[in-house]
Amino acid sequence: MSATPSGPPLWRLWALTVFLAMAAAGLVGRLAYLQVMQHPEYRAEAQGEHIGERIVPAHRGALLDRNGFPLATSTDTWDVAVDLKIWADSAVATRAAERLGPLLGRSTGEVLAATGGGLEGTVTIARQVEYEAGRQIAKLGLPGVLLDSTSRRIYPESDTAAALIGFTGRDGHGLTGLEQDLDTTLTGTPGRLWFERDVLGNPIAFGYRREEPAISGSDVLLTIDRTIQRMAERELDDAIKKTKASGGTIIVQDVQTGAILAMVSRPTFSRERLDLDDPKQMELVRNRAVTDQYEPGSVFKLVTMAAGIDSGKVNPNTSYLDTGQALVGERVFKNWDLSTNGPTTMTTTLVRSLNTGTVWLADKVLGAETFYRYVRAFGFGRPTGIGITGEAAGMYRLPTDDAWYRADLASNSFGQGITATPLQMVNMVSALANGGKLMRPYVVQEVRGADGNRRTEPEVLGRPISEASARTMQQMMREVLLANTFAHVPGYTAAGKSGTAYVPTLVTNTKGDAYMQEVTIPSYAGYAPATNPRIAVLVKLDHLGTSDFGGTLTAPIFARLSQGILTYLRVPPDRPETLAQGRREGQ
Amino acid sequence: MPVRGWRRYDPWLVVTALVLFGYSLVLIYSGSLGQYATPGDVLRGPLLRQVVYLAAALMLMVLVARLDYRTWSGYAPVLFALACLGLVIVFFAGTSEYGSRRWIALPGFQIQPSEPAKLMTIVLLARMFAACSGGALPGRVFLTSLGLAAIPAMLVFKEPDLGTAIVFLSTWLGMVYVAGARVKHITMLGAVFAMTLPFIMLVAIHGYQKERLAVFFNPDRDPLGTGFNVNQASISIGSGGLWGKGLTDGTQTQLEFLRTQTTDYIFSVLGEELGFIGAMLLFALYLLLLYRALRIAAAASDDTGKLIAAGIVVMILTQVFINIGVNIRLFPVTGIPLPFISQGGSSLLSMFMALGVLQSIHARRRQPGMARPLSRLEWA
Repeated sequence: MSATPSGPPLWRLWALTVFLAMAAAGLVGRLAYLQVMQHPEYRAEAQGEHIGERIVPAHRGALLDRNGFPLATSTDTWDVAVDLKIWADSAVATRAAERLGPLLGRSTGEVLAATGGGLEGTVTIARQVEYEAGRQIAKLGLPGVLLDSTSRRIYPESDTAAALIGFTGRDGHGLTGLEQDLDTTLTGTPGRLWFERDVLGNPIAFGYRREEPAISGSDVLLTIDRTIQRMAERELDDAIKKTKASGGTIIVQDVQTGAILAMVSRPTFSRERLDLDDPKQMELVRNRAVTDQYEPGSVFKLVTMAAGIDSGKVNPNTSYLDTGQALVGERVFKNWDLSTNGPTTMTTTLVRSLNTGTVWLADKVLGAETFYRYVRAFGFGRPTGIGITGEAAGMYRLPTDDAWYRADLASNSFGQGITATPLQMVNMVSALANGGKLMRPYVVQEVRGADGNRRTEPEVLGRPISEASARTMQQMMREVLLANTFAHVPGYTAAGKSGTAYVPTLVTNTKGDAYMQEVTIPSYAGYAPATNPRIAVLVKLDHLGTSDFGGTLTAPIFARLSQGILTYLRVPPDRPETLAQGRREGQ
Repeated sequence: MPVRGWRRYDPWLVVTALVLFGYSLVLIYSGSLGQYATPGDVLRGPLLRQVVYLAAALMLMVLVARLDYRTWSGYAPVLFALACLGLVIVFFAGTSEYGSRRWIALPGFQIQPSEPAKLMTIVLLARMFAACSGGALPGRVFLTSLGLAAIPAMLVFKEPDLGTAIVFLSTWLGMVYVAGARVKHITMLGAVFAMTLPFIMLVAIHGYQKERLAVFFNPDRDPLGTGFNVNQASISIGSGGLWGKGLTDGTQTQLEFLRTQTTDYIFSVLGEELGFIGAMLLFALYLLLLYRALRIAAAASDDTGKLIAAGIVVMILTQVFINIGVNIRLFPVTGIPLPFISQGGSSLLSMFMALGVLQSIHARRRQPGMARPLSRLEWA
């Protein structure tokens, strides 16, 4: 047996030592690289990691009616989400779901099912949970359950003025209507919160904290009066039910300021039942009173007459010879009732709504240039600028257009071959009632923001006719209304004009075949009281059969609504002697 | 015996180990603060438990140091077989943590059989190599020893515990090299390994291990899952900088971005709170410890002692390297304790037992002027 450690040479041990030293050097080198060379990057990363930033959504402003009643408002709610990684442990998930269920009003199984069974990421299992319920959930401190501060839009008046107000999407931003048009005003400025956080991203109780508070969105006071709006909606709904019209519009406007008091159109939608993926339903969300145009028919004769009076070419007693027809270019125009009236005054032309009269006035007296100057001056052919997305301009051809014929001038004189929005029509009537001042219609009365209140000042768009001409027009319209007993407003003087537009329309029957059918759009536009005009009202029904006449269907609606509104507005009756009679008639 | 009493032993070895232990207490304290309500709870909880482990470990060390390794190493085959049996038991009756079955639960505590198994394998291999004296190690012994070391390595690999399996094999490699294996054999083995590696990857590697490997190369592949700790460890250590953020002031540690921060990732706590300087101090302590162990190996009175000491050096070194390598992203994620530093009893006991063996070898070292060593026991 050999003495000293025999076989293996000792140098191998030292070779091992060298290897050890190399390994150590490798560790030191790597460590120096991490801790000295890359230190700045890692320091920044560590800081970014435990300083969390959270966007604090600003409270969305409310939409209020002109008296401050909320039409759309927001309440604070919570979205409940689940960290799937933590709930991957089914025991943990079940325990949490058992306690979460009652607060969400769901069974344990429903809560578990809501997670969708994924294994990673977070899933929102309940949206817009009531504020108090959310606080209780937070207090439970359930593993893997996260709460996001959100809000829910509430419409206390239900679907009143739904098309005008619109609605918001899941992100809380407006998708349609004023919710969309006023979105930036309502949204406010989101705040930001910086905080020290732990590995789950939860803020640390006594850690670093800095906040840039959210600035709440402004409340918007609208010109809409919820009571008047509801009256108008009820009238329109009743009328549609009775007449089987496909739709309709009612607008109530403050004559002096141009403020819109009510704006209804049908068909409309219900926020509850709306399916955003159904294009047919999305057709319903637009505000038809502003976005849709129609041929106004005889109501438009007011414009032709106003042009005649204001240009000084005619006065109410100017006569023309009604031969029952008028030849313009190669077209023959007849009266709606095919009557022949001999010498006829301008007032009678309006009272009996004679097409031959306005054709004579526009074609023989005014001429195209003067006529269209007044049409334009009353705001037709351009949006009013009410501030609602999708507002239509209306259309008519001018003599400078290639496709214009003299016959166009003739049909335009009684409101055919020209389109306008219901809003333009009511605004025109308001201008006549308002001494010839055309106002810009508006729906926003006041913006109440953090930086103070901004009121909308009434804005005069122009003076299409003089005050004297307006007074003359008012007298004529008064006589027109008096001749139509359906339009008499119990207790109040009033003025107005009916119209029935004939529209060739492509209709699809139940078999899916398309054919042309002539439908009518009866309407009535007027204002009251006639002695001191306060409100202008337009009532319009869509797509009735050919046998109906505008004056008999829409005039009673105008009358009832005007009376209701004026009473509600506490306007003293200027014709109280008719009240008892009206009440009897109404019942 | 030429040297009697306590003076036979190497005081530096013990002192260095105790300083390392003290260092470990400081780090465990800081790393545990986030999980306990008050600092007092940390002291009464994990820290006290660790001190109790130390007491047991010291007793074990003294006991083993007093025993003559030349005597009991004769029973190495039996001890080795028992250790392997322990690993088999783990396989059937073990408890799992973090997806790996590594512990046997006994009333009151758990033991990790792979810890004593490492030491027993070293002793067995040392006896085996020492038995073939003179010249190069025969190929037969080379392969047989590899086969023996592969048994516990395979068993822990199945737990699965890739890190410890690597410790077994690298310890074998270090020992077989010191024992005088032909470089040709080692090269051939390396070649075979390189060629079979793709098949090993395909068949033997667990899915999660492949994932860890992928994450090692690109931690952002799964930053919230497997890559989370890899990233967090780098961020902790990198943000610590030269001097660290100060003890108990590490944001990543205290806000619990780090996980298992008192065991596998305790080095990240050190790196973040005490910085590069703190890490260098730790390295210095390890180097001192291993230097003393290598000195003991060089001065051993027989081949068995020399090889055991060398094996222990390689074992500790490998563990340190893998653990820190995982922390600083030099090595794919695999859970392995940092010797003397990580929280836990089994590792501590096994480390101090190794120190006891080293002391036993040291006490029976060659003395200058001593003619011949004590008689060698034959390979049974």
